[in-house]
Amino acid sequence: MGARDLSKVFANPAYKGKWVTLNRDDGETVVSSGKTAKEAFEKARKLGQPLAPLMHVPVKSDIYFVG
Amino acid sequence: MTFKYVRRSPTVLRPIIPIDLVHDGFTVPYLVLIDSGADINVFSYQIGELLGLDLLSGQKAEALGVTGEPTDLYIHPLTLILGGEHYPIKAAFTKALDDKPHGLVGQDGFFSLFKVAFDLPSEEIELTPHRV
Repeated sequence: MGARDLSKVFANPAYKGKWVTLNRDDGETVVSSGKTAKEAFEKARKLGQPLAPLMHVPVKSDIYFVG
Repeated sequence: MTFKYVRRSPTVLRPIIPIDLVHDGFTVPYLVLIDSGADINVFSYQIGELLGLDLLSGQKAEALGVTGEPTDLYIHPLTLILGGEHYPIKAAFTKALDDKPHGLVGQDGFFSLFKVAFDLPSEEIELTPHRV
């Protein structure tokens, strides 16, 4: 099956510090981006993809998450 | 339901899945990390605002992570949609997640609803709804 590869999205300087939405079907392609979740969501909705899931791209991309 | 892991970097895979959150008929799709170490579901404050929640009116609580300072949470009821099914859940919202990539789904409100099987070598997660 293989993981959905978001490594290029996380590493892309154009998205750092922004919210993005991802294509619901492939889970990898960026549909829209914005400074806020609302801005990215509204852009995706105008593009006909209201169910494109939101995520935030941190400025630092090499941090381990421990929780 | 089978979901793929997400490749965060060449060396890091995470069990992240898309979910839909609903409040007052308004749906917001969001990526969340399946986190067995989280007591409850915790989402970004911005996601709560987008859902139209009056966040500060929620039940106030405090959270403590492994490495961080205590952070304020505001807990609200809402609906989770997964696999076409609607589940009433509670979720906490915090500004501490506004600059993090994803929300967290934890024991109360996710593991309470689904049997979760992590298969890292296959890069898959299998979710099976618990029988009510």
